Amino acid sequence: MTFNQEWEQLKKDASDRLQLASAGVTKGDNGRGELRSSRTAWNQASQGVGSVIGIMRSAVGGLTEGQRGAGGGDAAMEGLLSAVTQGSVYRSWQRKIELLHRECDELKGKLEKSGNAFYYTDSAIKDAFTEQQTRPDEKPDTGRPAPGEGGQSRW
Amino acid sequence: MVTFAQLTQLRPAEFGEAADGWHKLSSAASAAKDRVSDDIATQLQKLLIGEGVDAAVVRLRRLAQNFHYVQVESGLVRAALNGLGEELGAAQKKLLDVVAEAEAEKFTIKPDGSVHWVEADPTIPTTPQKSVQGERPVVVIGSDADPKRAKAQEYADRVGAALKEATEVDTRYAQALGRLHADNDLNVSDADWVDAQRDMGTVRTATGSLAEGSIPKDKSPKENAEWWKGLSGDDKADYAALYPASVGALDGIPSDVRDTANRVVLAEKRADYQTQLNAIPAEPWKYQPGSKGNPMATKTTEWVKWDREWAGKKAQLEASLKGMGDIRKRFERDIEPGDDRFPRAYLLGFSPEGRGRAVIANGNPDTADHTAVYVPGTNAGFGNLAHDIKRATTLWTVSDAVSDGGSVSTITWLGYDAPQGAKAAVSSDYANNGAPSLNRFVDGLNASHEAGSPGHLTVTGHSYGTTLIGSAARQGDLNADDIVTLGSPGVQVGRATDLDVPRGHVWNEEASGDPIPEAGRMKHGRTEYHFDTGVDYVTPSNERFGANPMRTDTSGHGSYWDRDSETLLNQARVVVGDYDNVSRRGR
Repeated sequence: MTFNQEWEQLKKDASDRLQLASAGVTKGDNGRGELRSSRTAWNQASQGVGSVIGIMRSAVGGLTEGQRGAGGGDAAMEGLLSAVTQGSVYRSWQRKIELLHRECDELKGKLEKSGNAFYYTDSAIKDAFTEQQTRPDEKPDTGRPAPGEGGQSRW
Repeated sequence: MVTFAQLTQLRPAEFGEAADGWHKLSSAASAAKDRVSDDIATQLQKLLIGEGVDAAVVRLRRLAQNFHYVQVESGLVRAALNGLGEELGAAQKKLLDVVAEAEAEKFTIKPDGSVHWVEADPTIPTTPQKSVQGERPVVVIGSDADPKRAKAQEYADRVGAALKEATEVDTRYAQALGRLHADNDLNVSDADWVDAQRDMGTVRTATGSLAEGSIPKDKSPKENAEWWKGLSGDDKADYAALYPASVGALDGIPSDVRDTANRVVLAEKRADYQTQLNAIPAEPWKYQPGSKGNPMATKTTEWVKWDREWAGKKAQLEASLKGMGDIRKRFERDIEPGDDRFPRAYLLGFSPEGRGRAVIANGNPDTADHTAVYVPGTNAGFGNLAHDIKRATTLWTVSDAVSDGGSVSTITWLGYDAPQGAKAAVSSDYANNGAPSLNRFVDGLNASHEAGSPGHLTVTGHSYGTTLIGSAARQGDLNADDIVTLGSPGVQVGRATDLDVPRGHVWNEEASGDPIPEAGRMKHGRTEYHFDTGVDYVTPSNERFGANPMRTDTSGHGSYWDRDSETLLNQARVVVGDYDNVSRRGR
């Protein structure tokens, strides 16, 4: 099943008025079904974040591709103030998107763990999501790296 | 300074290629935002309860905000690069034209921009090479015995002008682009959105080729639609990035385009208004105790001054922000917590100025088989927008349930300044002023509706909203298929056939105990003189008006959206064109 099909199924479950609960809090009377569906909901969310990573990865590929000429690969561009500025703007966004990627990774992992009962209680899930692991990269030269340094992206 | 060598060797298309890359990022960020917010966060919230899921949703919504911000800012970079490429290309063309012309006449232009020629005078044996440069005192033609020198000077000047133009373009765009650096954190603050709004202004000013003036104004929705269809993909994206408020307001262009544009305006205006509200000084102590000679407590001068300067502005900002919050809550689909699923919202109109305008669709009307436009009445506005959003979502839920598979879109149309309070509602002005906008909006829906489905369209109105509907039909053409009037005080015209829809397609409900039809008819009903009964003020509730009277089982002026009621079900049946199953009064 594709993500969309799975999602449709999930939405259908929801409209069947399945009242679900996350770990620790239950609502309704079918405890087992709830637990299974709760796992599905978390895992679908985790996969959803995974698909977002995919969307962004391909876009960043396109962005980098477009930088070949204007980004300094062309001698005539190098002396243009606007082209140089664009290159610097590009690197700043690369860093920002890198940060968003790490945030996605963190959330994807925690959503999955929530579905797999890694956290024992609801409040443990809360603590996990409240704890901010992803932090901006504060290396002094990450914003505008020297040529040859800033080209690596995890996307 | 851009040099001759740079400008001749430059490939402006490379800016276009870079712009395409930014476009990919902008589109992907937009898709990522929708997925994180609509598919992931909202669904989790709907399926699970608990503090764990709440904490997860907070993180996910912040992530979605980040993607929205990336969408907006990278759209601005794209627009700037497209403009830059175009303008540098124009300067380059001027330069290359000069070079071509000069070479055709045996002049040579050197990399420093100087123009050289060889005196082909047979009497001079050494044929010396001569040269001139631009930006030197221009040689006056006529006083110079050498016509070639004058010609060369002209070329040199043109070279100089092209380089100067390129330098100006380069500097201007460098400044604009420099504003668009990303920050390095995960928090999208109000200040970030305020900056984004300012950045948009900077890029607009820098971008010479894409002027706001070329966006159609006061044209018919059909003409708007044609204009949009005629634009290149780049231009569409750039107009939406640079002029989201104008694009979002354009009746006739695709609903998803308007929605994307208006969501940007909403994000920026909300931050802007919140920032303004935060800047208002705190309300000072209002009263001071009386003194011996004057025992009455009086208002402090500080408070009086504050009240005069700030109270009105504060109230207005607060009401606007409340409305914007309601729209955002609808985006998150929790306007009614724990309720059924809603389709995606489309923000088809948005402006917080004045009393505020908002047009919010549940489901895309461009692809819907059945669309209902709900016109709210007295007291509608940003201060209580949730109320009118909820009526349209309620109508959607019931219509969707009886639509027999047809897709439904229901729209809250707060596209006019509604009267505030019963006294104001006596005036016809609000209806008469707002009616042309309704006609344009409905024409816009017809223009943007995609081929392949009939696009059945119903306009429903409540209370004073029905007066506006009548005024729209009276003043112009209201191009709907069905009209539903609820608790109507009168619609300015006296017959259903005056409402522009086919005969038999005006439907009326008057709930028991609703005082408005009786109270309002002398003001908004159609005054008629009859031989037998004397003066009559005709409203849709009158038999001689000729509307189909629908059965109601609710009571009171606000009861038309009561859950599980026949009152609501009958409206839904009209909305989906299931006329046979509408229950009628007196049958």
